Amino acid sequence: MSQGRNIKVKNRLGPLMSQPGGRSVVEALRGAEKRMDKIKDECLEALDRSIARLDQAAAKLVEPADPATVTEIYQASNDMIAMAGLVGFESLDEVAHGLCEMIDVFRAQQTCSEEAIRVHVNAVQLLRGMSKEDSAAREKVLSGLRKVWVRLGVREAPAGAAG
Amino acid sequence: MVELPYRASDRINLSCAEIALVDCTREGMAVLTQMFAGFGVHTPHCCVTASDAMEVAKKRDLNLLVVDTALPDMTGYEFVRWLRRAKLKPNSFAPVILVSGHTPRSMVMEGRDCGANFVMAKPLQPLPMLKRIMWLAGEGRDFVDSPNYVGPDRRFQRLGPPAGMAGRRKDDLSAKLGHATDPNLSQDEIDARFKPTKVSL
Repeated sequence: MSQGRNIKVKNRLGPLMSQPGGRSVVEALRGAEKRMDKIKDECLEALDRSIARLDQAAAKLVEPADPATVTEIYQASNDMIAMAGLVGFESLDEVAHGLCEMIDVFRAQQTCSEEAIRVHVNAVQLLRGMSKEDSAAREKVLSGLRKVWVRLGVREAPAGAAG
Repeated sequence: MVELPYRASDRINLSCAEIALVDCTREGMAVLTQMFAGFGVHTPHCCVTASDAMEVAKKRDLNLLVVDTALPDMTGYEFVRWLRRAKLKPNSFAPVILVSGHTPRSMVMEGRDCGANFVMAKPLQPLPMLKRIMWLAGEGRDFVDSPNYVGPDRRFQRLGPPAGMAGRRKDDLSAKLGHATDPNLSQDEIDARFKPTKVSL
């Protein structure tokens, strides 16, 4: 059995943070939110670049799928996750998560469905073009994708859903 | 409006904190720097590669590192493994928050096993980040240094060894209760323990 040892470590962060001065937790949170609001345009541009990258990668999809192309799609989708939720596109965040999870399943099963990937890429385009107020249309797109995830074994069917 | 789990009087002071922010994308770094500026961090060390972060870790005494898992020269997990084994005092013991986009369970496990204190999923929001920083500020976990793992003790709770197994820690207690070795307490002794007494503070 490997030998390990426990080391008592002095927490340096706690005493530093409790020094007099600084700002209230509420001020810190408000300050951070305010500053992040200022870079929303930059985040939106980054989101659009990720969507363009996703499109370009998906255009290269052939049968059988090239692993490098699938990795590129995964990375573009991963970049979308970092930004979509910050700029009010939670629906894009959900699609990007679903796409990454689906690719993980494909990799584990050593399969790939180009069609399923294309459905996600098209959904991303559709949702990006929709008005943020059009929640019914957004929900319709998402509910279709959720069925795809269940069918492909990416996610479990919601409790109470009929097979 | 989200209800904040803090009192208006709670204060934090990160103005003198040495914090390394490691993210290779311009926007990812912008999110981190703006968030930490809002928290009151004056001059974070911004690194776009793991090599940059290594240089900073060798030169400065860091209080916290926030590291993206996707870096150009090595993964965030590899960087944390390096940091924990680099024997840089005090930085090898510094708290690390790993941040990642798509974060399946396997990645959370990898983050835990590389020696990170927390793994956070993007998009990063100020409240969850500050909660974790405040948790780290009050944390007292031991560090474990073993051939297979170096980092904060991965066990948050002391639940003892698994059923039917002998513990590996010196202070692991047996689940079996033995016979009493001392005489039982008398009723007077028991009463005395519950008797209110005045204490001068």
